[in-house]
Amino acid sequence: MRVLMVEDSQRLVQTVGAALRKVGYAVDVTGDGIEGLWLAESNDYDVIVLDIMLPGLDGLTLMQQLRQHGRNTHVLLLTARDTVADRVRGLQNGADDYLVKPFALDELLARVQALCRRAYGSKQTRLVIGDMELDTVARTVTRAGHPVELLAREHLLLEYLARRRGQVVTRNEIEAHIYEGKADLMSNVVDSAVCTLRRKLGAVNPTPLIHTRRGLGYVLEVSGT
Amino acid sequence: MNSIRAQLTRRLILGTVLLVGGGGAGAYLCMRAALINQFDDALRAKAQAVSAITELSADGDVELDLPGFQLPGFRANSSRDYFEIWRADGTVIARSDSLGEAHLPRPNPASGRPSIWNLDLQPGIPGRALSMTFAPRASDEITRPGPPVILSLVTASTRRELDRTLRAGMLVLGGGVAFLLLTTISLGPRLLNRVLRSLDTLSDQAARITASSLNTRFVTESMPVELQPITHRFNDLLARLETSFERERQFSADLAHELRTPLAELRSQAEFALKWPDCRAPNGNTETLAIALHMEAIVTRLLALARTENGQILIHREVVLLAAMVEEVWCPLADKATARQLQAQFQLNKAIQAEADPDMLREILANLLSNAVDYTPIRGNVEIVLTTANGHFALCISNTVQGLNAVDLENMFGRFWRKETARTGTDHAGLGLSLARAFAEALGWKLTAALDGPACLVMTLAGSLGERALENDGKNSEPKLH
Repeated sequence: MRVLMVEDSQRLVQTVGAALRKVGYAVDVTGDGIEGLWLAESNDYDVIVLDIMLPGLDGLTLMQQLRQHGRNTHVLLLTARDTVADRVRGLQNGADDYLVKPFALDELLARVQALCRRAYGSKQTRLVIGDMELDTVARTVTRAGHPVELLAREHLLLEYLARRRGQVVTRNEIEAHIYEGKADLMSNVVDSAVCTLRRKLGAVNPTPLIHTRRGLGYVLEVSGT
Repeated sequence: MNSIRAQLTRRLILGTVLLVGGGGAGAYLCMRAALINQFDDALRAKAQAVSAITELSADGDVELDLPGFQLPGFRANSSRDYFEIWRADGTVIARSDSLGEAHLPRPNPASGRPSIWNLDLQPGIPGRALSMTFAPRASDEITRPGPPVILSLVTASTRRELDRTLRAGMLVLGGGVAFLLLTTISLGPRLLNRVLRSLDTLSDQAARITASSLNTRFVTESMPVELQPITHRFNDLLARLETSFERERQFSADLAHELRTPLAELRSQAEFALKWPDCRAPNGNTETLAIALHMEAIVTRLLALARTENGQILIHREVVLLAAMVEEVWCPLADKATARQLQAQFQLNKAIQAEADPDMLREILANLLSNAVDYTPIRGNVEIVLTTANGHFALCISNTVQGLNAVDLENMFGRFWRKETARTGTDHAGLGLSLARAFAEALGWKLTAALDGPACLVMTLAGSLGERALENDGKNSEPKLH
């Protein structure tokens, strides 16, 4: 999952950005409204965490322009403005959620996660594919009832593939959503990550869940379906 | 309870009682006096008539010139008028037939002067009598005048008509007075209610005003002229209250807003450290300290501002060299100005001294100069000019600006005002200019802002050099270098 954070407090950007990365999100950050709009229009983010009072371009205008340009990326407004009128204005201008500073870090992470689920049209926090069960809240994976230990990035990759089960997911999409767009086109970081994931899932049950579509990408599904 | 309506009602009724009652009594007394005078004049005329026909004959007898004379009122069948004449020795000479067997009281012959009094002519018949003495007219037959003969005469008339008229008059006047009083008592409060309805309206409007409806204004046009000044004053007061409340609300909101972001920074850092203790940033403590210092600066400035505005700040005046102070404050900003490629120009008369509190002056200059460095666009100009004239100095700090307008000039001295939308990411909290102006005013100076063209802001700190500075200037003594 890829998140854009537009916030002019560098300290907040550092802490929240680090927290989002720790739970596996690919995070881009900027402290300027104009650059934030450019990033939001140039990339396919799952969620944008957006401050309102920004230099260059304020958050509400940024969001309006984003919506006018046809972008439906989920936006979480993160701001010090706490009145009902502010919240209403923010939501009416196209925000999907609103969080007032100061906030609990866990709440922010949960809201980002909820918006990510909505991005894929699902409200389920437990994804079951064959004998694999993935809990996106507890961040646990089991196969045939046995726990599978995954790193945060691996967990996120599995969740991304699981939410698009049965669909072919290209390497570029994986790079964009999981690796902050930083993966070199010639590198095999995606292939390596998929390989590791296959190995960990296959340790319990050798029946493959992640299948390669040559020249296209990967698809997560139970064999024979 | 002290009620205007009750007071006015009481006074209206009391006034009506006094005026109408007094007027009625006065009118009755005047009427009574006039009627009695008229009655007495008639009585006197009757006495004159009787004395005029009384004649002294040659043989010394006194007789009425017309023996058969009887005025209609004196006749036997009349009980209206009476007279009786006595000699000095008390012998009755003549009397009216109307007296019958009765007699009128004989006056004291020694008094001589006519007198009038009330008396009972018969039981139940009040009357009024006039007594006089007179010398009867001598008969034509008397050739040689004898000793003077003085007679006493009393004429009397019944008062029944007079008393009836007086009673009727009293009845009419008393009835009129009572009618007016009853009318006043019954209609007065209603009239007062109608007149005082404007006060009720005013009271109702005032009762509806709460802290959340200070934008309400009293309707002045429909108020009586006497109440219009009051409503105008109330409206002025409400406007001031509204401004004050709005300022307080805005201040509270701004302060909360100003503290929310550093609090969010602190909280997220702490929660991150608790959640992932091994991943704490190496500069975490430094960042925490920076946040604390930022919040401390906000609180310190707010306190200084409050104390200055309440006159609670102690001012230690000394003679300082203004140019040296400007250079001292500029020194730590010079690197940043260079980094931003600002073109800084100084025209400072280094000999100018002023009497000031050095700490407050330093704070003012630090705010003005740091604003100039931080808000001047890269490669912009900053010009600092210090001049003096007629015992006053003017320090003008001009710098290039973008997008500043006349409204901003009015607002920039307000608390937490900042031109840019973003409120974080800088060390400025929007309190510097408020504090600088408060300090300047505490020192008796003025701090003003003006635009010299669309892209040049001029901040001017001006004021008196102070007596001690002027004396020092005359003696060329060395001021303190801070």
